[in-house]
Amino acid sequence: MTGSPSHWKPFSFRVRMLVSFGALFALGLIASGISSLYGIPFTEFRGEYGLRRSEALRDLNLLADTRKAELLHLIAERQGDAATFCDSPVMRRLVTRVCSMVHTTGSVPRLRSALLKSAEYHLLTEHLAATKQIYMSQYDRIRLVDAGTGLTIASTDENDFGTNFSDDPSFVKTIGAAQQEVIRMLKDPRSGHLYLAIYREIRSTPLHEGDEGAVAAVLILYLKPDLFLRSLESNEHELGKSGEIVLVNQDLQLFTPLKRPLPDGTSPKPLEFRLDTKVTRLAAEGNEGLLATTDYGGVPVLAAFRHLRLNSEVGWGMVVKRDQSEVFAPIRRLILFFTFKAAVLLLLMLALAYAIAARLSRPIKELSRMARRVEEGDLDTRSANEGTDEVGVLSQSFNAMVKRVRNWHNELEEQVNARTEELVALNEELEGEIEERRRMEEALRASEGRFRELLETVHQVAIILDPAGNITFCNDFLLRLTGWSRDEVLGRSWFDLFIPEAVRDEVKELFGNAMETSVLPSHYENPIVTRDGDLRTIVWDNTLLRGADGSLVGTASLGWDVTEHRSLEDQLRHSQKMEAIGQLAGGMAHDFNNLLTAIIGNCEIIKMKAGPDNPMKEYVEHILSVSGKAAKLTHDLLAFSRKQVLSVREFDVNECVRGVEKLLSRVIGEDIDFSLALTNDRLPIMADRGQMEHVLVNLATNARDAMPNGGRLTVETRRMELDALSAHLHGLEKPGRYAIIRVSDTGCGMDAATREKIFEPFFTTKEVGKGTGLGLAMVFGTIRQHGGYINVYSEVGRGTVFKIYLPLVHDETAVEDDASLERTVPGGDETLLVVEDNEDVRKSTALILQEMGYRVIEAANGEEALARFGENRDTVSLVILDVIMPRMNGREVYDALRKEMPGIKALFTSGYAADIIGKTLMAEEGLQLLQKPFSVQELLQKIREMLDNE
Amino acid sequence: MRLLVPFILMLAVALPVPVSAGASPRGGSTDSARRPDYSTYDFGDASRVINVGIQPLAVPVGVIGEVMKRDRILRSSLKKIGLEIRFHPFMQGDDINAFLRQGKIDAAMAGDMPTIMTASANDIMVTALAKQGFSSIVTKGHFTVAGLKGKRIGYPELSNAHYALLAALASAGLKESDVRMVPMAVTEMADALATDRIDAFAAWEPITSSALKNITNAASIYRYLNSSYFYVTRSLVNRHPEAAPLIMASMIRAFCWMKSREENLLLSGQWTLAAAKQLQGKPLALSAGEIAALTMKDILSITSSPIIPEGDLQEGGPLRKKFDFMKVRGKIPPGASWEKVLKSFDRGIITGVLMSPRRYRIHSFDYDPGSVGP
Repeated sequence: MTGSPSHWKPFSFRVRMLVSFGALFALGLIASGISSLYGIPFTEFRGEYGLRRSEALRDLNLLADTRKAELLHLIAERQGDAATFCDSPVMRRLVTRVCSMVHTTGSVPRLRSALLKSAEYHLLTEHLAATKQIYMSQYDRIRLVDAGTGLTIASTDENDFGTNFSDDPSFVKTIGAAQQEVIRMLKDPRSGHLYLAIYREIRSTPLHEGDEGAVAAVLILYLKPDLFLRSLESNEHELGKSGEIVLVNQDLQLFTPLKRPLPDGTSPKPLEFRLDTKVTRLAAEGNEGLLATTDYGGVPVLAAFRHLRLNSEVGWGMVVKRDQSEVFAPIRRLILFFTFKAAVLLLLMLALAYAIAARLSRPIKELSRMARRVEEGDLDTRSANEGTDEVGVLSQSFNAMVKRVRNWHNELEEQVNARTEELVALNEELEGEIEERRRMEEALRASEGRFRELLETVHQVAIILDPAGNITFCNDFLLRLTGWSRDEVLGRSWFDLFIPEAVRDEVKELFGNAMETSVLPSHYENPIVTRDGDLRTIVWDNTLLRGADGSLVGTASLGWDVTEHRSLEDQLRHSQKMEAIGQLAGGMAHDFNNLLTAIIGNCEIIKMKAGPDNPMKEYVEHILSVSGKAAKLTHDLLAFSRKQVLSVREFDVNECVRGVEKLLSRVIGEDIDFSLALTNDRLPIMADRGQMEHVLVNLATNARDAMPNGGRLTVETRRMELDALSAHLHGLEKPGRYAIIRVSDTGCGMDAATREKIFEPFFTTKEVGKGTGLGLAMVFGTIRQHGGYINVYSEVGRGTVFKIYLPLVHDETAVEDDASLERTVPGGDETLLVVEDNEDVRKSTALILQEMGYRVIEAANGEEALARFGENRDTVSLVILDVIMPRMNGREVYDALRKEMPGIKALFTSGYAADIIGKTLMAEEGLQLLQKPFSVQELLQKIREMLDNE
Repeated sequence: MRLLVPFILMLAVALPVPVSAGASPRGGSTDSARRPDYSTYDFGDASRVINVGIQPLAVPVGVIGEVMKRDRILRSSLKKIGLEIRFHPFMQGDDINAFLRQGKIDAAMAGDMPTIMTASANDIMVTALAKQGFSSIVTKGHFTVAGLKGKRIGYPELSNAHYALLAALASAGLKESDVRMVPMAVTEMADALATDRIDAFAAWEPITSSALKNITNAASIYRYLNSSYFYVTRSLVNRHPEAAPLIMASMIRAFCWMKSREENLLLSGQWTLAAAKQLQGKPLALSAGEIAALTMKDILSITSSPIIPEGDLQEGGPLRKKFDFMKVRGKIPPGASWEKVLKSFDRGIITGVLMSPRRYRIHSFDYDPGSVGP
């Protein structure tokens, strides 16, 4: 027994016969048993179960009907007793006379005394006693009650005399016109005994024909309880051990003691308990029938219920019940007997079937053994069965067949030998070919393995698609890139799974054309979508795959993920764009500064010369004011183009933020919650603190404008270490430690298009006239000029976050003292050389200085400056040099002058601090720069300081 | 083959041969009963003729009707006040009420179901009790109501027997939809059961006793006590206030007469059998003695006078339950009230008659044995 289906050994013929006969016989037995038990459907054969059940039900019904009839008969007999007594003319006459005495006599004792003297009374009482005696003591007592007074005037019990029945409802009903007779069950309060009382009217003797007479008295018969209770008792022969008869009145009051206690363990007493069960209720309400139900104790019973109508007003309910377990016990025994009988018959049948099967199968088994020997190669074996039955004929045919087989075998053996030799030769040839093919396949597998390994290890996407665009191969790189598993990808449509919907049709069409025309672009770029929905940009190298017959079997593609590359390109483009804008803005600002310098200088001169009462002074003041605003504008432009002059010192970013906390609060107003979240780390940076403060104010202003209905502004700081890649991605020049200032608001936020241009100069989302569009441009320029980076994160409706990265310095120099200096407007008489290519600036500067007492030598360019200086070498105390000039810039002029006079003092002026300033001029200590446009006060103050400084 | 024969023989021994356990129905007459042609009834001049609907096919109601029909004292009493009385036989109470609603019938005896229906929709006075007996479910081969599940059951619609059938089904936890309800006239039921057109029927006496007597294997498996009443229209009482007491006196007189001598009861049974045969075209399968015994059992032995029991009118009593039952089934108008039905019951007229036996000649008897027509 291996359990394997291929080794399954079929049952022998004998076993199969045994099983077949056994199953057939068992089925027959079961069918027979069921039909004999439960009958045959659609026929009148009902079966033992039905018959026994019908018999039990019929017996129960019969018993219930019998007991009902007996009880009604018993009561009817007693009613007959009452009727015989009451309708008897003799009794009516006696009662008429006695009752007439009652009506004429006073109190009860006097009445008794009077009645005892009456012969009729004695006759009446004797008749009552005789009646009680005649009926074999069935009555407990018999009373006669006067209809007029309700007093008991005669009784078989002398103690009853005088008992008043005026209030007895049954008595009242009896003397009324409607009822001649009343029956009720009552309990003697003294003895506690149960009685059935029959009240019957006795009419007086009729006075004439057709007269019925008036009701003179009421006869009351008290039946002993044993009388009818005994009739309800059942014996085991009739009702079994569990049988019981229960009697209730129409109010379900119990008359009979119960055989079993109630579920709560109590045994209720008659007339003191309402037995409210389904069958007692049905019986009391006038129903008669038979039900399978549960009794008062919850035991399943068969119950026949009957209604006993005693008169039109009184009806009782009677229940004759028997436990179902007892009723159906014979049927259960019947089923048990049947099962036993069936088992015995089945065993006998199986034994018989076994014997028959053995006899039938013996020659077949013999034949089977012989066949097995032939199968094993013994072709000389023969069956000895010479019989003429089916098996005998089969055996002889088998013998002939074996003989034939033996002949064929011999012929075949010869042919086989010849063929075998041929086959051996062919086989050797074939083996050689197989070996060759095996080697080729091995080489192919190795090649394919290397190829596959290459595809799996390369950092490129590799896919092969079938002509329908379904993926037949993909490498791990694609799976890592897109987040799908190989099982989820293979067999799926490349276009449905990976190509974004926006370009799907285009790519599909391209692929479709390639399959039709065999022309596929060798290079192609398109986005693919990852499992998370992210887009990756892939540049493909494609090739068409062909089968052995030259037909197209798909495409193979290698793809470069150029997503980051493209992103960096975008960043570079943006950076170049900002740089170009910066250059443009810087150049413009430089020129404007020169113009403004001239305007402001000339206005200052006019103002000085005009005197305090000159009406023109007001106009000059206005020009100065407007020029100041213009100067501010050019200053912001310079800041954006990173060409502003920085006053760089080391300070702590946290202190800087705390320093402007109050100012920021005032800027944003009361509707916006303002909070700081500053790191405990020191964040020392080298920067222009004033510019940094300006940056924070600008960002706060921007946040305030984004939160017109209030919100929250948070400024956070922290320290961060950026590696080379992170620094590069953030547009920072080098990796290292950075201070991060995070300015976040809960305002309206901005869309992608706005984010793209937010740092461009003159780009504003504000209403015309409300913003210059230079605030964030200035911020951008300032941060970049400090070697930092700023980026923005924002979504519409979700607020905006600006993050500023500023390089940290290592030394912890004392923070600058930002105390403002008292400025005066000092003049002088020294000789000053003003070198300025812009004539307006040069002239106005010269005028101011001359006005302040200085002697001024002017030079329009570097060469002229050197010439002028050569002419006035001994008198020139200070050279004022424009930094940016054609041909020879300020620094070159200064260097040349220093060669002439090493200690020469020079004050540089410039519209912007370009790279030249940053890398050359500002790199040398002691050189002074004045940012254009400058005020006269600034200029004079600076000159004075330098001249006075030894 | 040699082995197959003993095997088949053995199988044949093991399988019992079904034996017919139930006999084929003996079957009564298969000809269906004739239905009366009510259109031939002559109700006379309504101003001077009192028309009473009776049911010869219902015992003891039919018996009382037949006795009253022959009461010469009643006829002469009414004649003195210028009135004539005519008795008309009907198959069942519902038929009588159809004519009562048309104003053609002034008084009737019918079961409690038709009485309640009429009292709820018409102005009548229910004055006397005419029966207190059982309606029964009769069947063949079944011993419990539960065994009737899926069976065909004949019943007279909206009658006491209909209610009894529903009470029986409810007692066994069955609904109307659990059996196949077959409405039919009571006269057809015995034949239908005998010829297996139905499996059971619900009816009243003497239909049930007749079937039990004549159909083999028939058994009454459920009985339900119900009542029949005598009622008159208020229109009659208003038009002729003296007439109703005279009719009630006749009913009491009939009770007294039947109870006074056994011969009288047997004679009244014969009168009923004749009336039933005339009505349905074939005789009842019961003897006069059996009719008399049923009459005694269902009315005469249980009350001395036909006064309506107080218990019938109690809240929660049988009449109230039947009223609610019919209202739920839409057989009486939704606006009908139990109070109206209750007010229809009047015990005053019969009490007044009982208290004046001489005036109403309760104990005087004069019956016309030859009168059979209305």
